[in-house]
Amino acid sequence: MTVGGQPLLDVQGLEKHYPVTQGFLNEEVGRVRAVDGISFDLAGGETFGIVGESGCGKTTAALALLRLVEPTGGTVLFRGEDVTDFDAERLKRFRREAGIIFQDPDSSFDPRMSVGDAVAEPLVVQGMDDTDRRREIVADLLERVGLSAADAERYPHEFSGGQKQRIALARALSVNPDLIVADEPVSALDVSTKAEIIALLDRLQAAFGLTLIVISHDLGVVREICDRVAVMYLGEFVEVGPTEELFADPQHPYTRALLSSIPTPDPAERGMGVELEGDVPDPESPPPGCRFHTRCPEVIPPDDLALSQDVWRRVLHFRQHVRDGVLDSEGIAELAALAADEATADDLAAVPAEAVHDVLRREYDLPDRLPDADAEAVLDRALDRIAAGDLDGARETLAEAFVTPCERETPPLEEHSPGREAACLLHEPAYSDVGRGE
Amino acid sequence: MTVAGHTSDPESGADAGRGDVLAPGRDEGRTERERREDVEARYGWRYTLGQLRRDPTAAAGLVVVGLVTLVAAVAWVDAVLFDFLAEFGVFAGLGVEQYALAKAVWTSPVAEPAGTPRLLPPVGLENQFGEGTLAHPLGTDHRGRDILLRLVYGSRVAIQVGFVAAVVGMLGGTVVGAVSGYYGGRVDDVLMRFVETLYSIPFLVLVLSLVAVLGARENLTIIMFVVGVVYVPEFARLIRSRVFSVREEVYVEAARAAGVSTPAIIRRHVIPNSITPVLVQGTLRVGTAILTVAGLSFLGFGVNPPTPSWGRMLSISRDYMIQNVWFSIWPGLAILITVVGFNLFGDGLRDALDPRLKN
Repeated sequence: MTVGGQPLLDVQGLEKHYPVTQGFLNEEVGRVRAVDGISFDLAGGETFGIVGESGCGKTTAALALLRLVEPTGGTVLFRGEDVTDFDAERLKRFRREAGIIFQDPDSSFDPRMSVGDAVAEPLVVQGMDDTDRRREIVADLLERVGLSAADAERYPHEFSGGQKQRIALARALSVNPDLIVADEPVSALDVSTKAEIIALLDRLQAAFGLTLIVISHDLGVVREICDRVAVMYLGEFVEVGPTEELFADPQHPYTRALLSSIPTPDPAERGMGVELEGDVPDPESPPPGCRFHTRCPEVIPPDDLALSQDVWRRVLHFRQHVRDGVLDSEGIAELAALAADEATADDLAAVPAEAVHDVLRREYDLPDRLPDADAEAVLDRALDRIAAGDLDGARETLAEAFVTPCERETPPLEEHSPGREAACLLHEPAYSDVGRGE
Repeated sequence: MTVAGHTSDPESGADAGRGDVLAPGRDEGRTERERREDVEARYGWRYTLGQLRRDPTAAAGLVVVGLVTLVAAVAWVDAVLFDFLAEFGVFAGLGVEQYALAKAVWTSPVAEPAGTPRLLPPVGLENQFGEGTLAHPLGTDHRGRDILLRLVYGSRVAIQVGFVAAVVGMLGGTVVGAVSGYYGGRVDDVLMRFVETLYSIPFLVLVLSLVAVLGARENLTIIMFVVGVVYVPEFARLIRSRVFSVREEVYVEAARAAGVSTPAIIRRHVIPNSITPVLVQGTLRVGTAILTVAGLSFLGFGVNPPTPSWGRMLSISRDYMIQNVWFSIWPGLAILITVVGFNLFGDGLRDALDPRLKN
């Protein structure tokens, strides 16, 4: 399907920001960066996966790609034509070149429309007025997805989730599109049905010569059908690569964390045991530098501190919590009361400094003395300030000493070995000597 | 590319695969479907009607509504359709005339029969004008016309007015509310402020002033439409609130993804899925519209005499209350029963259509 080496789809810097407005005049006070500049290209017949946690912008990316929501930036070249420039008429034609399957099969059908009408709807839109011909096509499609032609007369509530997803496939295929975006196509289904739908998707792709974009939080699904995978975090791609290579040798710490979260049936094998701590940051104010640095288990330590990766991660966590106000005087007083087995929390001022030191070190799993003398001095000073109720002072003290390059530099998504892209400072020559997880 | 391409697609690969991949799906499908055979649809008119029949008050309402409507339909044919046919050139030769049916069976409801006593009481009762007879089971009016016959023909006005006003209100309200709710934003602001302005004026005051402005004292058609227009705001607000949730449904997104135009989405997906409360409210509003127009007739706005209408009968009978109280009781009862019938039916419809209200 690739004509003269031109990709079927070429996405450059796709962006979807939702403005946060306030007041009568709808003043913009911020913007949620749901999708913040993703780029990839897709050859005809390829299956491309996008994985990431819930809320990372996968679905928005899919909708913006097809202009089901209006992208706020970037270009989407479909066969060399920019989708973001399409006028109403061209967009309608584009609707038969690219389709979508939604996550929830139970709500993706109008309950008052028969399945046959639902599958035929795209045909009607595209101007096929011949009723008999339409009925023929619908019958053929229903059979191809594993249902019977007679099912056209039935209504959506008469089908199970898996069957509805088959019907959704039939609907998407009715206009013979080149590209189908499947947004979490199987996450609402149970395991056995899931496998069937995946197999069906695979088979139909071959039969119709489809190009697929599969969006999922389920790595197993993606591994099953995708040729290439992009890992998404907070609106950005952090790693892109061929599926097998990416799974075998993940290049980005986030990918490694995701992969290690896949449960294995072997009790002896516990994966890499990487566990992500903390919440996904607010996409309205993403962290500076590498967006993953607030949770990254491999976040780069400053040159001048001799701390193990583990301890460094915890120190940084502590700093982030102080900075973001997760820790406040009341919370610390409560922690102290809890540690001292007291029922009610006193004012922080009443808690002895010693106790504050102890309780916070324990809470953040920090050793009694940090191995690095400078770091220990800074931490000690910060804890003193906290005990004195001076959180702002503590914030400054910590911010001066405990700085990771990851928050200062934004790693570009770069190809560092053939076909594999990752956005992590660890791949930059300047940091390549920083060991992983030591 | 042709949209029909797939039937001629080379599908050797797919065919080979059907045996192993698709077959298990079919089997799963079948057992699945068998299990689902017991699950009844929770909507659709057949189901709704079944639910209505199970509810005795709703069934009573349905019977009243059905009967009155049937009677009114016959009266309409005789009074309106035949009149039209008699006037309209091509059909004039058919020889039908207004009230042909009534005359064939009995007598014209508008003619003043010579020799019939005025203000006779119902059969079995007696007053200063004479004794009630079976010839006029409900008695006669101030001109000696049969009250039963006048009631039957008066139902035509009531039902026509009720239905037309409710339908006008429903259509107008549905369009305004659906557009307003689907587009939201500025469109919603403008439409809703307009609708609320209309809503803020007391109902009867608005109807009376519109009728006066349009100079339609005796034009029933305009009055029906005015009452309908005055109903628009409540229907608009009703459907708008449903549209807000329906427009977020995945199937609306799916329709957009299929390239369905916005007006078509509103027409084919949004309105059918938000219309239920409007239908219920519409049924209830038939009753109030009948009441309103009867009230207007009472005040002197409405049909021309001698056309029979319940409101006019009530209005005239005021002067004869002492002589023959039954003259005012019968039209009052007719209005009462009809309006209550529509209300019971409407309430039953709401219960039948809303599974949450079921015990």
